[in-house]
Amino acid sequence: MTNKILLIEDRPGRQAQFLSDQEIINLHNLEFVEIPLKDKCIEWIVYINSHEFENIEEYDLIIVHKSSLKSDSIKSLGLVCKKTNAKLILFSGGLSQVTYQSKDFQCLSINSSVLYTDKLIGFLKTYSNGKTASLLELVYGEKWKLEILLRCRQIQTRCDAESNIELKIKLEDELSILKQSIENEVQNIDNEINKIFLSL
Amino acid sequence: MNALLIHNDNLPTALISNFKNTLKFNIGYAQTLEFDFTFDKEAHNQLNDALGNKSFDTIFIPYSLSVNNYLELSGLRLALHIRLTNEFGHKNTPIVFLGHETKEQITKISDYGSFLFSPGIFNTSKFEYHHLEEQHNWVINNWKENSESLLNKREYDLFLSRTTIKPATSHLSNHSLVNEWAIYQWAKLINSEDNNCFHQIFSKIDTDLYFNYLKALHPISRQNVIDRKDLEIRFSGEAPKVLLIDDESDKGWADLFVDIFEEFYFYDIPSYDFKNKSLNELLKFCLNNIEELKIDLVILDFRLLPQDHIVNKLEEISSIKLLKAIKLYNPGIQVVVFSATDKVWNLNALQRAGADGFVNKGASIELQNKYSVKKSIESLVEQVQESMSLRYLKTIFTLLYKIKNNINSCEYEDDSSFHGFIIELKEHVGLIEELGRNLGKSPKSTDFMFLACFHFLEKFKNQYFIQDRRKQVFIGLERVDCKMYRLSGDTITKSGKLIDQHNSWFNAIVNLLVDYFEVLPTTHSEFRIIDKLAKLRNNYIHEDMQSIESENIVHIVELMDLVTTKMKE
Repeated sequence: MTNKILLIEDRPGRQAQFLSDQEIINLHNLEFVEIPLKDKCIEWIVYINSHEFENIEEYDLIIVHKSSLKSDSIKSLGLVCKKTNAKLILFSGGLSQVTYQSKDFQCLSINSSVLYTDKLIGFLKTYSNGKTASLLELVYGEKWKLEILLRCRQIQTRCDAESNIELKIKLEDELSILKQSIENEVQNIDNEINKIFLSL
Repeated sequence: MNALLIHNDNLPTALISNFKNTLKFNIGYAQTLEFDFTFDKEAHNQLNDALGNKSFDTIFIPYSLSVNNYLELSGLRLALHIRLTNEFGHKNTPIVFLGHETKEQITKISDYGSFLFSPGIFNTSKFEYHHLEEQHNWVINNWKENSESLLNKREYDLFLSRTTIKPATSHLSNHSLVNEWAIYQWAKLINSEDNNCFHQIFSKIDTDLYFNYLKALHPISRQNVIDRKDLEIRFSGEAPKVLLIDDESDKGWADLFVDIFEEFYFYDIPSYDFKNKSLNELLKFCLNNIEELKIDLVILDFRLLPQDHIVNKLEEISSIKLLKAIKLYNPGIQVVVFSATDKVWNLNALQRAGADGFVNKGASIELQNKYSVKKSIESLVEQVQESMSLRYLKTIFTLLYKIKNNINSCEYEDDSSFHGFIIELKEHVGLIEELGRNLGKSPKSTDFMFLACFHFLEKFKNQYFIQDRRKQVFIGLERVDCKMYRLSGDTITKSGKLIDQHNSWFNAIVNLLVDYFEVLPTTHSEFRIIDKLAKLRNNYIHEDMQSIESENIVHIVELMDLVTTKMKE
């Protein structure tokens, strides 16, 4: 099954700032990505700002220019994503730091320049095929695995020092789930991390 | 130990619970989904609560504070906030990073890696409390020879020189950043920082990491603040009308200009939706405003529309198109370009399009030194002052267009002597227009303009006055008697017909205005001015050649208008 993606960009000129003409054509030709233009785009923004989310619920990933939405609409959109388990990417020129949350639903806030890179089309293709584990693959590409390993080591450190059994078990579970997401047996986290750092 | 531990429950619980002073730095969904959320604002607020009015001798921070994304390395960004923000009071406090990674490894995955190699920055891969206590004692007592653990000025400057913080890379947001930084500096330098209009910008400048970095690099001291007296712009007559055309005018520029141009009529177009307008819509809207408000001076930003950031040719930039349109409408309207661009090719294009001046808003942030904004403010005052001295050009060109219309609406028979005269006048007005475009650009430009205008009027004397065999002088096709006029006070007195005498320029012009075209009554004060213009020209040619003042250029062009208003054969 193909994951459906919605990309709401109210200023198409911004894509031209970061992508080549051919990349823009390729982006708009992706079958599984809905990129409404002109009046259609305005229509979508009006829907969201009027809290009409029926049409949006069919999408698995929503990418939207944050500044195009009203304050309360962003929060409502977040609630919809939580309910439907959709993933949300908010992009804007004013965001200087990547912020990512995954507890309730995956929500990524990034600068526009981080969205519109040569990684975008590849990410969308992989995502539509259901092969994407984390939105962070869009930001870090191959380095995404390093992120998981560093987080594993952080949890392992906490786990090793933990005297509270209940918390220790919870951390071990967390670690186990995290390791599964990289789909391979990691014998020695430190060695694996050092190997990746050496390749950077 | 008197140290602060910053964490997000991402360190061993035993370590966190042993620390007396802790800050749990957490950003949740609620904050992220706020419309105006920025990481820096959140970091600033949480750090301010934890550090303000307190005094810690060391700060411990893990490289990453996110439990979802280690590569955010938010601990690093928080540490930079501490180093760069004055109000936290911990700019010089030693910082110890916690993490298994080496400084070199972090440098490979962060833009701020060089910060880790600056004075007063340490790291540890140990997570037991007693190890951190040992590290703390070493930092307090041993990292410097004189047992002073805080960074001194040399060490702080070394940190600044080794650290680079980049702004957001989007063209549009970078454009806004340059504007906000410039407005902040302008407001500081003209002592307008208490103005409530700047609250939003000052609040952003105070919380944003990049701006705090710029503040540290380019501090503004009290002695650099400009005296209000030095901002005064002199002008004569009615208060000048200034229009600011800037897509960022509502961000603070308009408020700054209201402060600077307090004696002027100041206008801007704050509600205009630059982001969603076409070039043609922009040109039409601005020209309508200039015409309706009778604007004397336009202060024009360089990039007004979003497409200006991606156009291939400079000639397609909206401000260059608008500048040409303004100069086509009236070359006398003064246009000072006010922009953040400092590219030579942009300035050349603007000059070619007719810009009368250029003021850099705040220079390129990268190349800025602490005096450049002050120079920009001084330059603005100087160039607006210069524009005020050329304000009369707008009147000149308005009159010249009217004179052309007067001439064009004259009736004549083809190939008649009057037809030839009309053609001659049109060519002469074209020449005067060209001279008008150079007014103010060279010391002799007003003299040349005046003489050309005088010559234009002299053509009337040659065309209209005919002497018969008895040496009596008549005017025009209607053969109206030419009188002898003398100036008496503000009015003129007539003393019979002109016979066998030299018909002076003054007498010829008065005869035409009073008796032939009948556009002036004999009681009009204009005659004193006509007499003054005649004497001025004679003195210039025969005596002192003193420069002609701009008010006399206006007078003689007004006279040209009067003479052509009801022109007939």
